[in-house]
Amino acid sequence: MAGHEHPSISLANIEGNNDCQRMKKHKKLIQTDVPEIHKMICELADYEKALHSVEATEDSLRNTLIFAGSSQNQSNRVAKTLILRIQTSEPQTKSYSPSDATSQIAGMALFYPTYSTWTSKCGIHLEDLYVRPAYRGRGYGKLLIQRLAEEVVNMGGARLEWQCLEWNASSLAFYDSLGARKMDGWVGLRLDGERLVEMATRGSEDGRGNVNGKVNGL
Amino acid sequence: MADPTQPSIRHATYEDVPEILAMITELASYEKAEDKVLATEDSLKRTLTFDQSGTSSHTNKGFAKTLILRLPTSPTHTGDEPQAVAGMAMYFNNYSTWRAKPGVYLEDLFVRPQYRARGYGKMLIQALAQEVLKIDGARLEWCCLRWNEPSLRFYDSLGAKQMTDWVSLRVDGKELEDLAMGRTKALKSGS
Repeated sequence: MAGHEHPSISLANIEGNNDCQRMKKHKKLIQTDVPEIHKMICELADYEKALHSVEATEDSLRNTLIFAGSSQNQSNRVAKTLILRIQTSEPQTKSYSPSDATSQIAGMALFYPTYSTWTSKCGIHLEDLYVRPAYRGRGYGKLLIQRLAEEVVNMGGARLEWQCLEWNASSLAFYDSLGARKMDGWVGLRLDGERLVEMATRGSEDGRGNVNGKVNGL
Repeated sequence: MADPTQPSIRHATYEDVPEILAMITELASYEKAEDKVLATEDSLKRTLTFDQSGTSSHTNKGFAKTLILRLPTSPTHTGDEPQAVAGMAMYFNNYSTWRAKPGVYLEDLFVRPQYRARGYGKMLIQALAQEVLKIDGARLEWCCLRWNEPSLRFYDSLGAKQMTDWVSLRVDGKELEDLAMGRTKALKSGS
């Protein structure tokens, strides 16, 4: 008999503090989503023909993303991950109970807050959106984006933004159906690697472009 | 000690808000979009992050920080007013999943026309590059209007790459509300 799929979206979890009694009770249900996030980042990069560009490891993700259930100080972090979980239930099983349902991670949306000066309002930038191939065609990508649109509205924000490769016609058509506009008039600029370090170092060396002068740092 | 003949770059305090608003408007005007500026001094105070200052000890947690570039205390250019506000860089932290590192996204970079060609824009970008390294970040990113050739040439001279393979998508206004409420137009072919 076919199972029913029940999608749910929640902030990515990390293992809770083992000393917490409350967490111990629910230990079975709280897992770390980090390995799956890492896998999905790699799967998405592969699809974008850029798997070789992925430097992220499970450790570096654990140390830089915001998670639910974390005991670490996350106040300097900005990026969060929504995890799309699909629970498959077998409703016709006689002794069915919630613990019979199996939960799979089907996708994610990794995002961070932004700011627009013209509106002086916050917004959200969707950095990675991914639904695993086995779960496509069921509206799950749209569900994730809708969830983020709700988040922007709840925050009193103005915009939900993301980027897409120019050649990705099927994704662009999908985004158009959501009411997204292509910002064709703009081009992104990026300074990284050696050129970034050069720029920063040159600023320090000649004392110009140094915040608060040579003596005081930022 | 800081060189008095060099401009200073500091994080903005509440007292800088009027100048920030003036510069946002001046920049929007240059981008032919002055009517799109909805910011007010009050909305900026509520939404930006400011440094503690000597006069008002506010430190709030806003969505973006602003670096303010001021003329030298001992200006070398005739007619320059000491410590006048000459430019700004407004930015927030972003994140790269591939690098698993934060970065800096430069939202607004502006040097007032009368102070251009002195290297002030580059100084602000240098300060932001230092900020990226300070947070163990990977990238400094921003965007530019495609027709803005002088700026694009300037950015190219700094070693910045144009991300021409990518296009930005944006949902705002009524479409954002519709999307949040689950109202979207149907795709012609299945997704």
